[in-house]
Amino acid sequence: MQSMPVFIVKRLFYGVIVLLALSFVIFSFIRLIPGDPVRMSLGPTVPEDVVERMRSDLHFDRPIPVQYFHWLSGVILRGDFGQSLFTRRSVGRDIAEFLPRSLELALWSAILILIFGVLVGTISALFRNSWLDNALRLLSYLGVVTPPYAFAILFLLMFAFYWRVFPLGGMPDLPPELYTTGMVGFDGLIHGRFDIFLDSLRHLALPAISLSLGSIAYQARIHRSAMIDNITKDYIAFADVVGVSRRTVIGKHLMKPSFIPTLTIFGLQVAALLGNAFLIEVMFRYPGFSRYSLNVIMAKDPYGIVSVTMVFGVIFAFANILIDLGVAWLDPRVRLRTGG
Amino acid sequence: MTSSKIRPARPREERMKRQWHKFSSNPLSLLGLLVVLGLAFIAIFAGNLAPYPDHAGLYLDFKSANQAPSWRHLAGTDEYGRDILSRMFYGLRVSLAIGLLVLGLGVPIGVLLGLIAGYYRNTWMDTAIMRFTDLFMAIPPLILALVVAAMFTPGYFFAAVGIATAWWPWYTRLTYSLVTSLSTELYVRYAELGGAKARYIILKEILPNAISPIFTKMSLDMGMIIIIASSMSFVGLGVQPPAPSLGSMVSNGIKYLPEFWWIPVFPALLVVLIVLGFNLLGDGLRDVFAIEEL
Repeated sequence: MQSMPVFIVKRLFYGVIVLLALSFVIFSFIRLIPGDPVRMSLGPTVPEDVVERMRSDLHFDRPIPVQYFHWLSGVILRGDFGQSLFTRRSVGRDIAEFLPRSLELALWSAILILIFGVLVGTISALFRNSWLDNALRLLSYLGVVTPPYAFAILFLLMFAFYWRVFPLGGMPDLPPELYTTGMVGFDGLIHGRFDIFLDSLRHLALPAISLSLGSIAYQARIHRSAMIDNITKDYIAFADVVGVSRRTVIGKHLMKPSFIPTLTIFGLQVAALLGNAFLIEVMFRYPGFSRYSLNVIMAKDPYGIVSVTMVFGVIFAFANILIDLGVAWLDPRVRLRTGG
Repeated sequence: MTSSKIRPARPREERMKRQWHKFSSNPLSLLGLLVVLGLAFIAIFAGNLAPYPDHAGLYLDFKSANQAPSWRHLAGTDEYGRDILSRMFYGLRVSLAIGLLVLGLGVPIGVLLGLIAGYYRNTWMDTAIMRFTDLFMAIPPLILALVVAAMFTPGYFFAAVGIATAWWPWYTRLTYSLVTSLSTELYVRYAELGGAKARYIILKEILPNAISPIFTKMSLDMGMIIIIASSMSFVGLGVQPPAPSLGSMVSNGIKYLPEFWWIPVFPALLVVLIVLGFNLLGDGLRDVFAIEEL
């Protein structure tokens, strides 16, 4: 028996240990592979003593564990993620600039996935084996097997080139005086600038839908089968027999337990979302963190790579802890086991 | 089923017949099998089947560049005048090869570690292996695959290594949970009592009984791996030009939208077809084996 706060603290602690170990492994690998990232970044014409000075500025002339702990102590003590060889700026500044954009895209996608995944799954389950259910199941099957870039091409052709209802991509910059969180639409909203908010939605619509459709389809399948599993349970038949209204049966007794597998699987969707975002950001020329990460990874930029993997790991871990809390809240058995 | 029932003379053959009957009674599973076999056939004989085999490489014919689909070029031509259908056949070959390579690298490692951790559960070996797997599941698989692949020279082998690095832990987890339930079975107990070595029990008693779920997962994963591999070649971490890969054909083609839409659209549709085939096949296998296990 352990209480909920203890459970969360344990999870967080374990998550931190895992991420530190992973970042050390990745960092060591990048530094062990042959090739000189400093020379690659500065180009062949820069004199050797300049390259040498930069190497020692970045502590690359010291043993790998020393380099790593130098980076780590910078992160912990000063919030300094080291210098990027790709942008030649501090990685922390790059993260602050690009991460909010990607979070905004990811949040809208996550909202779409949860709402439409559950909605489609519920409709499918309530009208199961009807033509509507069969059509929705066929569509979800196609949704699951279609890569996000294929959706992106389809939507670009239809809504950006043919009907021109949405822009081809990009995201307008936020006026500096409105900068609060860095999420364009959200900052527009809290400053009462609805024009900026609506414009951000217009730019986010196609990327967010392309990114979420596959996961919506997957969630719909999971939610449908969870609902159908529960429809055949005795307590539902009992509630029906004793005259509980259909709305209460569906809304209260059926929905709540069916959310448990849906939410559990949602962790996988978060992983897919974060991973696939880089393709979508490249295709829609969206100035986000995933596109930045991709550039850093391709440039073999040591401090950049280890920092972006840490950021992805932290987001991933937090999302999974939130999901665990949600499942514990929905499922009395889990709650009893942890004693919260 | 009661013990008085007469046992079939060849239990394995009988069981396989029953499983095939079950599998083939679902038209969707059969469709999946047909699609997969058809695609494998095209991939193997790409050199003979492609209308213009030399277009798979460095071939330039700017006079016939960017032609719309026609009887001469069923899927049109790209910006260098190369036949897209021929390049799709070769890209298909690469996609399937990467998928098999990822499974070939990742599954044996994952399954072996899962067998060991599951058999020696609650020992330091279990803890060490399962905590080690957690490391590789701490960030989204596609990102880990990108980081690993980017460290090496770009090419399809290291793309596969990258994906396998992110993929094997799922097989460790699956095998671990299978072994945990299998190792309490009586035949395992008897083998232990009879003094069989751990290696014999793990490989000869437990593994054969865990193989169907593992095999089913491989079929279901193939589609996902091919999507990930095509995403990696999309950003240049896969087969290098001029050799074709479906992902790079799509990513290069996007800049020609909307006028020359066929350049990215047909390769993308082929990816959808590959994944659809493997998913239908995998779902069929899952249904068959789930019934068998009950």
